[in-house]
Amino acid sequence: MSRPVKTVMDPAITEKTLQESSQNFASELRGFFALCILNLVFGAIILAFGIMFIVTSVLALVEGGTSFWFAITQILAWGAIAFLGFRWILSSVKVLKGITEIRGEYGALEKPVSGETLTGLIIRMMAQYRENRKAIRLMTLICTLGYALFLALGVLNLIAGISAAAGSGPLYIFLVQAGLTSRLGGSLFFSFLAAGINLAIGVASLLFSSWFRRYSRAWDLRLAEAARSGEALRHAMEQG
Amino acid sequence: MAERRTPYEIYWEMLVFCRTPRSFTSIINRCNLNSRTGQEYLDFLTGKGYLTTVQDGDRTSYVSTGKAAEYIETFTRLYQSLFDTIPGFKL
Repeated sequence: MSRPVKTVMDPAITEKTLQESSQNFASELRGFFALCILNLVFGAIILAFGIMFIVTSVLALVEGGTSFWFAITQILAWGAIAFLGFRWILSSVKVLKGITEIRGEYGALEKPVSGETLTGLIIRMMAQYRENRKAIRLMTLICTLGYALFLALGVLNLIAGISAAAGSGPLYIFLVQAGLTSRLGGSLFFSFLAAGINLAIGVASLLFSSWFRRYSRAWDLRLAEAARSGEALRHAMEQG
Repeated sequence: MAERRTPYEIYWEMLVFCRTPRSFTSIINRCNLNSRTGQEYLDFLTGKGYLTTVQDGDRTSYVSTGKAAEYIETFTRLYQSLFDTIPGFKL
């Protein structure tokens, strides 16, 4: 019969380290969960924007307010944006699903969490990251694209607003035809409101992209560290 | 999820689970492995002396040995240290 399994680490140091690791784990779970939720919301907003502008472009085409090919180009462009939003939602949901399961399990545990329970959850988190690595990279890329897109739209709205304030220059007429500014008599208010919304979404996308990159970097480092640990464990096992 | 774990992570799960004697079926269910892969892992751990078999009538169970404790401890320490630092921002 085998000997009972014993632990040989200093219990005081182990407990302190364990509780710190546990708090860090919980904090990271919370942050990542919130980031996924925010991404989901923004993906939905982008999808809604895309669909809204597709409808606007189709109406403009039907009413004959714009040229056929210009309207088609617009519909395709907004279709691509709506697709981007849809992909954003799908990626967020995939990542969110895994993180929600782990978060739920961690939340249901009695505190303080035992070392082995925490290690088991860390293994699951590592597995989640390995599984969702591509999705997280895609989300980072989509956030960056979203940033560039909404920043450009915001700038165009600002130009349209300024142009509308100055009168009716060729730039303003072009922006109205492109559906990038308000048709309500060139209202300054709507142009600047649209600019504000687009710029805010652009900045949020940039922030999300930056946060995702930080998570990716941290997790890539952890995976590299786990691979090194694997080597050490293999070595120990071979010697044992 | 099985393929997303490293063999060392699976060894750890098996050794912790087998602190009390466990049947083959309960181990592969718990560790989410198919029977062929599960058998390979169990053979490896048994061969290295991290697990031993216990006969109870016609039932065979696996149980972790003292040698497994060192592995569990080292692994636990290494993996917990991965969370010594976290990405530097708060939401």
